[in-house]
Amino acid sequence: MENGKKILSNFLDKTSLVKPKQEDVEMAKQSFSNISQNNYWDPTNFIDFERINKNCIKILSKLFFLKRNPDKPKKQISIASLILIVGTVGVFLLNFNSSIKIDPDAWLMYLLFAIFPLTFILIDYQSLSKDIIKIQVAQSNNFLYDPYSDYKKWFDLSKLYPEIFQKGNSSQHVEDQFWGSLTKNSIDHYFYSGIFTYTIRTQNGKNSSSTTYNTHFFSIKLNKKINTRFCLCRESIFSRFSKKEINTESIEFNKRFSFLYDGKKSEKSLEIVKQLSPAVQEKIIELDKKTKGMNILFTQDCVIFLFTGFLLKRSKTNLFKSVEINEEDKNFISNKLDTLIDISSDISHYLD
Amino acid sequence: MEIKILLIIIGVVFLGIISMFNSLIRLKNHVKNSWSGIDVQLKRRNDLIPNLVNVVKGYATHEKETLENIVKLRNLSMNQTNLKDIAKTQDQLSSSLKSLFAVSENYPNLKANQNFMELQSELSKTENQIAASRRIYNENVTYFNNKIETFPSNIIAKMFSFKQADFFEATKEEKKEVNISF
Repeated sequence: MENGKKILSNFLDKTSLVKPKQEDVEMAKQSFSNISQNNYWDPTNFIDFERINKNCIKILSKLFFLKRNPDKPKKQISIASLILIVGTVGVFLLNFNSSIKIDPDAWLMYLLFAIFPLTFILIDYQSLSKDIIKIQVAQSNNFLYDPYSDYKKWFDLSKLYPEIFQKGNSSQHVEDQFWGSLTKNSIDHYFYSGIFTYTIRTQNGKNSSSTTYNTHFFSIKLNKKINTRFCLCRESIFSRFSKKEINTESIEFNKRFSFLYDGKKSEKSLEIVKQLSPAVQEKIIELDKKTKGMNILFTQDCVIFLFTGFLLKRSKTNLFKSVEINEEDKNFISNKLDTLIDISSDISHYLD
Repeated sequence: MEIKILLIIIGVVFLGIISMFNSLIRLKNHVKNSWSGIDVQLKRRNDLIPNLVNVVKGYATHEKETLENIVKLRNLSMNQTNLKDIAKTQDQLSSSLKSLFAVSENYPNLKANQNFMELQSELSKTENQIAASRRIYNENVTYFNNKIETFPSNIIAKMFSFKQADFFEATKEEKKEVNISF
């Protein structure tokens, strides 16, 4: 299945409607400044800079191509719409006037083929604009962004954090990865963020069904290691741990979260409560309010925040109208990231 | 049949009373617990102050009055038991420390001292922890007091003589006294 997904991703890449020329690639290379390995942190201790560089240049070269050919998207969408209109009208005219009886399934297939080009164009451009926005946000903040799905990273992460990443039975991968840092009170706080996608396939006799889940994760490196590993949960997604009651001094905090951890309560509770000082509890509540619910995994060297769905999803950019990225989109993603970095770095500061 | 219904009603009411009583006890314990959270942080700050005073003394000889005031407030806070008094003294102590850190800008050697920098960072962290634990305490007091005042738990609170908890804050007049201008 993993191979299937890779094949599909390669197919979409090759069939992309935006085909940049060599000059676009050169311009993209110039605009994409060289990235330094020292400025980023990754829990797996490996960042494939070459891959990220290549992927970002691929996306940016498409932007340069579109800037040189601003009418291209309009033309493509017009042709696809025309195919759809002609197809639909044709189906209805034939259906009502023709004496030839055609199988209804054949009509349906015909309609689907008529819709296909339009759907394909819309998805292709939407995905492109999403990637361009994030690359530009990353460039302006000195972050690193990988626009493509990463299967290897998921494998490495699942070994480190099985509570989070050992989920699903097919198509597990990580995408929308950001790496960066923020200096606060003259201390550097490093973060790594992404979306973990997995599918659960079930076979019930002859029927099979599959559901895909997306979890946004945001991890922040701790400057000082903590001695315990536990989860703060709203829902019991961490099946590896058992739930045992621990109460902190804050009623509000206890109402929002429950603790999950391995081991005996008598051994762990003191260590856990020690980490959750009043300031940490306050910051966690603040982030929880701002993000409408989250789960947190505290590990020795980092804290990982988990949010359901796509936290950084937003698209007001319309490449069919003009080849310009909507500033509101950029600001939205920048602000979301700022909030996450700001509050999580405070949490890290008080944990240290 | 009627007796059975009556017994069921009595049973439900009895269970309700037990549940409300337990909930009041739990809230009361939370208030106590959050107070000890403040206490821990205040003690931590009180432990840091003598070290800070010793470091500053060596560099900022002209700030004798500020230092004496800090030591006086620290000693005073250690002997207080009334919540309002503690809150007032703590606010004054926080302001005095802020003013000390502000005047430290005039002493480059002090500012560059490693011990001073570490103490300043520790104290600022502790100040934030105090502020956070104070907010948690006051939030818990609000929960507890609301429970005591609202129906039907107010009946149980009256029956078992639960009293409203005090907020950890200085009065408005006291807050005005604390304001220090630079």
